[in-house]
Amino acid sequence: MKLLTKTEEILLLAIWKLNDEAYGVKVREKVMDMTGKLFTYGNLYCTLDQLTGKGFVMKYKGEPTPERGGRAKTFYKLSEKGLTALQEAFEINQSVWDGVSLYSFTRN
Amino acid sequence: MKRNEYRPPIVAEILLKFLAKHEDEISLIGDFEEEFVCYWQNSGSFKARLWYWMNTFNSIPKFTKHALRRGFTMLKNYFKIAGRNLVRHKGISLINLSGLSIGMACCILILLYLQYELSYEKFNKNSENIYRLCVEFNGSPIPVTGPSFGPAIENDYPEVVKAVRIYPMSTMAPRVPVKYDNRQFYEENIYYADDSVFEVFTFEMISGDPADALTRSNTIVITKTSAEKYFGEIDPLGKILKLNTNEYTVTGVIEDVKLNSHLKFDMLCSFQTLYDQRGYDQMGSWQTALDYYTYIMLSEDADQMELENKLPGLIEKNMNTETNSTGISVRLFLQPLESIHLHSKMKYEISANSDITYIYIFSVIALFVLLIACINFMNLATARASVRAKEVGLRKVMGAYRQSLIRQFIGESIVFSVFAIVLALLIVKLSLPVFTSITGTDLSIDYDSMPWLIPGLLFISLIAGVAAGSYPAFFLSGFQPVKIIKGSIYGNKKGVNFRSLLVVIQFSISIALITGTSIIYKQLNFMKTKNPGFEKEHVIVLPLTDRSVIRSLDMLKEEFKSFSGITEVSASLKSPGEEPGAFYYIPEGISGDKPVLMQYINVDDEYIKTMDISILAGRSFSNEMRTDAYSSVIINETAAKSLGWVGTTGNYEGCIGKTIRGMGGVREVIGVISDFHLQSVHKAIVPLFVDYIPGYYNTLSLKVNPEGLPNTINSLRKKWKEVVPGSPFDFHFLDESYDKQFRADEKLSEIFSYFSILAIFIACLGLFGMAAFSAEQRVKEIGIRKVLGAASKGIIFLIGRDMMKLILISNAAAWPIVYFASSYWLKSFAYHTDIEPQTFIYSSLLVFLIGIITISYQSIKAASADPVESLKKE
Repeated sequence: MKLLTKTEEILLLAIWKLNDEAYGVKVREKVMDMTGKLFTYGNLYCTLDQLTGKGFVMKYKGEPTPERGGRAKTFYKLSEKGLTALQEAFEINQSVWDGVSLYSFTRN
Repeated sequence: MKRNEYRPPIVAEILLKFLAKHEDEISLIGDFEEEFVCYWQNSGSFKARLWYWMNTFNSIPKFTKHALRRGFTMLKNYFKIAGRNLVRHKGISLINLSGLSIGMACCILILLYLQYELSYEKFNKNSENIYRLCVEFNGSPIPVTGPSFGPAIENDYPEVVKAVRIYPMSTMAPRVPVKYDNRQFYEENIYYADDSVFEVFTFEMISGDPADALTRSNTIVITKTSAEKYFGEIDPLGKILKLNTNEYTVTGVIEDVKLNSHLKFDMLCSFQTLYDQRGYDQMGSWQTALDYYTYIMLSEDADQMELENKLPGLIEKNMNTETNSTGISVRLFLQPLESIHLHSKMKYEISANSDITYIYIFSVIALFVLLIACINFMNLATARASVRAKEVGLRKVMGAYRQSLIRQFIGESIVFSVFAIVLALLIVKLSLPVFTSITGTDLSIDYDSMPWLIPGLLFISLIAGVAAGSYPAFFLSGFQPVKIIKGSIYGNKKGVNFRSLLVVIQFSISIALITGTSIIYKQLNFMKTKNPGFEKEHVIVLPLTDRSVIRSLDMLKEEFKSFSGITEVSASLKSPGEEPGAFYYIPEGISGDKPVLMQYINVDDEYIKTMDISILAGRSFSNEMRTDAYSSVIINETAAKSLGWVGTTGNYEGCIGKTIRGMGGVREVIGVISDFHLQSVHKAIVPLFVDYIPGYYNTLSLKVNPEGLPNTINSLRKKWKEVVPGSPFDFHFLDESYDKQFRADEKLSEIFSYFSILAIFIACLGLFGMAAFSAEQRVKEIGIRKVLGAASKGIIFLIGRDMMKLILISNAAAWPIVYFASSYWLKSFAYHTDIEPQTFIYSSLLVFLIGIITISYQSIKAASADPVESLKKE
């Protein structure tokens, strides 16, 4: 199986952490909280579209809300496949970073 | 919370809508608005708007990349479906594709031709700074000046970098015998030119020194082709070429002159030679004939208008007041080199020019042919679309978005038209040799010099594709799927009307082109068959280029007269069809400040008899009357009338005995001849001055008996060799050389007819396709009609009726346009045919007939089909 890209990994984690609250604005905020970086909406939606295409996330429509000009939210939720992918990513990350500490890279 | 309170920037919102994938659009804009409202509440409207815009913009790159990746997959799908459609409907696809690609090929060819015509003189590095010095002589502009103008303008005006004078040898004799060793040919295109010719114009020198090649007397520079012609493998530098009796040393070889140059020459002699031949007195004079073409190169920062305003000074300084007192006004003006080919229509042009009108005509034809082809394409695509209505319905039922259907149809037709472009380029490649030989040009598809070609073609195909795909895309996709599948969209009136309109446009254009062609042919025929006023059949013309021939002219004439096959012999300065000179004369009773411009020819005593020109009053020249030569003149009818010597009685006798004063002294009018066309019928007949100066001749005209012509020519040749052994024997027939004047019109009519044939062909392809389609759609109806006892005849009529109605309507639309366009064109001729209703009726009948033949195949096929088979289908 192909490795997840970092962007995909971060998005999947953000969606998972947000649980039932994962829609555009919230996902972007979560990513900001986690990484300190702000994704552009272009990046966000395109990656989400890719993840949907690969079957890692599913989307469903919420109720229209007035503060969005009466537009419905699209919520994202991890699929079984998405969860497995995250599991794998975790394992890979652990083994890749094994034996490395934050101070390993500092020069004396 | 009301929405109106926080209004997001609408343009940005539209941009977002455009960027996002359809299904994500709502939630994306929702997200934006949610954050936007938040910002607005916290930091105010300006920051919120700014945020909206910023975020829209920085989303663009990702979205575009994503869309492209998706688009590629879509494109693959379009290709697949377009391919399947192509294969499934082979016949119609073939018609459609060939029509479009032929139309495009046609358009490309015309564009190439236009590009070529517009590229005249551009090969000269300084073409933008080169001007031709022209003279307006009593209000009529001529492109020639005297020999002293060039050096004077170069000396007096610092902004003139260089001046070059060019003097065609053909001014003296149309053809010059050129000899090297034992190779001898007649040459027509030899110029005398100043040595600065290589500085001003860009003629690439292969061997020799451009700075030095034409500085000395009796030197000559030849083109590569003529070098091969005379010298073959030998290096021509330093060799001696003999022109007439003069010897010239070859000092340079240049590349052949580009065809897109108005200067057309094979050899250049040094201008110094003319000084030696004619003397400095004559060459430095301001009073000689205006025979020289002067080109000047201005410095980069010089202004044409500024210099032109200073030029009257040149005249005042050099032309003495005596000239001014005669009332002849002379004004100098500059003509940009690049505008000569298309915009200059003066007398005495150095070579025949084209006309900007032709450029317009061809642009319009190119546009028309392309339009016809595109209409065809649209028409068939539209017709086929209703067959595909079911497919559309099904797709919609399965949940296809309207947008994706639109994309599919438009995408498909774009793919199709791009394919047609590839085919068109192939056709152009194959047909280019034929086209170049018709137009007499050296065209080639050169993508480097035409960077606009490929993008332009793609643009055209895009337009054609979108136009063709738009009907099914926007019209069909908007229907309710239930309706489509039920079949209630068949026989849709709107679609039929739209297609009918397209057919009418197509046929109007075709009919217009065909009628136009036949009018051009008629005019051409009119010009060719119009009695020129003299006998041009059975006249042999011998050029007298050699001085030795002129010396023995009387002997030759006597010898030739004794031949049994020859009835008349006469000598003249020029023969009809050649551009005659024109000079100012002061006839009796006309004051000195109002000279009259008259064309000038010089003939011998037998010319009028040989040419069979009728004498209205007085008599012809006679060699027995000693006073005739140098002191008498014959004028034509127009001259007699315009001088006011005739009055209302129409009696020409009154002209006899009057005098005309000109450059050669005073002449007494001894006869009036009827008008004849010295030049082609393009030009009106003008007053003519027929002089009689024995020995001042360049051609010999022989009236021959058509029987035993080969023998006559053989014995002529033998006699010629005997009398003047040194000079080559060369002859042509007068009618041939006279008809050469129609060549430009012949070319026009030829090209016009080719394109109108193409236009009608493409239109018929479309008609054929439409007929096939309509027969296919009504196959059941026809089956039932047949079962119920309809005759084949009735069914043929049924299929053909609608199409024929359209062609009839097209006639009505085309006629007025053709009428106005062709009467405008005919006005450019001094003598022209009338536009007759028959022309219109015949060409319309022709188109009608072609239309009937086109659809008859389909209708007969439909009518003779077995009804059982057609009803069993499905």
